[in-house]
Amino acid sequence: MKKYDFCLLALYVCLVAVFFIVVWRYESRNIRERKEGMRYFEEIYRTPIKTVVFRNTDAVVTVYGAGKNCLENGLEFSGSFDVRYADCLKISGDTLVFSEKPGEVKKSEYPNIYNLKLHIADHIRVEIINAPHVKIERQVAEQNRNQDGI
Amino acid sequence: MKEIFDICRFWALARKYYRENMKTILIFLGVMIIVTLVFVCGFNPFEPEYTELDDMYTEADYLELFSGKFTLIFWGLLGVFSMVVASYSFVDFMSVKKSFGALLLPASSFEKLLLVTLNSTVVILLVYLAIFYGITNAACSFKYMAYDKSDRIAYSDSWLGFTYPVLKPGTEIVHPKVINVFYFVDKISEVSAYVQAAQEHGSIGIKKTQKIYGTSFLVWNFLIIHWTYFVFMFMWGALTFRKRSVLLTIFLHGLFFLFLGWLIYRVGTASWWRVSREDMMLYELYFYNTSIFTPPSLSWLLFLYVVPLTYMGIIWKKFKNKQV
Repeated sequence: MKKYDFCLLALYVCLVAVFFIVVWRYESRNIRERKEGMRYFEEIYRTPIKTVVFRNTDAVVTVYGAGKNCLENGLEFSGSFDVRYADCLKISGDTLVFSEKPGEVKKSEYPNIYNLKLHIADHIRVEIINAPHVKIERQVAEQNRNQDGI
Repeated sequence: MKEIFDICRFWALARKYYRENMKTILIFLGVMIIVTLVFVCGFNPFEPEYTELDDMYTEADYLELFSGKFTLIFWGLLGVFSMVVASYSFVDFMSVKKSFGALLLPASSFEKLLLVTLNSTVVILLVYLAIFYGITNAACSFKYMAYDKSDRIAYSDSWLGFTYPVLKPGTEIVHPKVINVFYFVDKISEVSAYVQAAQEHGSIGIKKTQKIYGTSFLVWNFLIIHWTYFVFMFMWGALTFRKRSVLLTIFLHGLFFLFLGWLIYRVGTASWWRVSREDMMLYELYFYNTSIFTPPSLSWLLFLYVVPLTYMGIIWKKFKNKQV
């Protein structure tokens, strides 16, 4: 082994460094997006919500009654959620609107893309407009529906 | 007089090299022919193989099977033979007895290195292509035969001890064909293009204008990068280790790659690969991200030419020092 052979060592070190940089940039972007998504949900939890609207979406969401450990604003999500679709959730005043991103591919081909459960307290109303995969499992929702004459 | 390169001097050097090493070259050619024949014939060149074709196993299936098998044999054996040639490329310069005469030859360092490099890359490739196509075509004509199942009348035993089918008069016999051994270049390009097309159709959020698949041009270049890297690595070993250069080169590189793998694993698990589930959860909701990694363009990988070129630069530097 001569001093020139250490150039080979330097070459491999450079290649590994490039590999690490590429992977690190990709992963850090993923982590950043995930944290942004989590921050967005934290904001939802801090906002007092009175109505939840599902509008024009193929997302598979099941709505349950409030669990034992429901948050203070009476609304909590569980299951899993792809952070790339955080934009589908919009807060407008005291209403949480769940709608499809404009220009998106229909997600009915990918029903597992959302595996979302929504736990809501009795005082929150649920409205469903053109959202065929949203299921309501709680009794209060039925009462709301009857009151509205739906 | 041209100091770096003179074509007449180079031809004289090449003629001298082939003339003086004629015996070794002929023995090596013989070994290549025998080994290729043995592999192509499935380690038994004496017993013919008959295959029955029907609706389930057609002539196209039969030919496809053999084309894949022959391509695999070609590239595998070419790798082994190139490794041997590259590892023995500097044997005259590393031998205590011969090095004095080899270094004093009236040719420049560049001409000597060029001859050695051409022998380990272009010459071995062309010679082996000729040997492989010749041997395989010959082997296919007597070793492998296929016929339509309905054309068989009975089986009969030959005096050599194997069984062969008795066929109707005029039955057409199919022999495997040796196809272009570089066909996989286009195949890889097609497959990667197909995968990309599927992603464009099916997934969400893909940048549709971005072409990330490998074109034929890129795959050809990757083949050249890989090939030259492989050969130059063993040439470097031949110039670095006086004895057992093949084993020592494989051992050193294997050990080094294991270390790199371990390093990547350790650094990766210490930083980003081990993100706990709790860190991705907000109360009961688990967050994940399905964004797909889209590299800028595979053309950037052409910078990997730096690897074989660095090897060649170091070989050149070491060889020149030896010459001085």
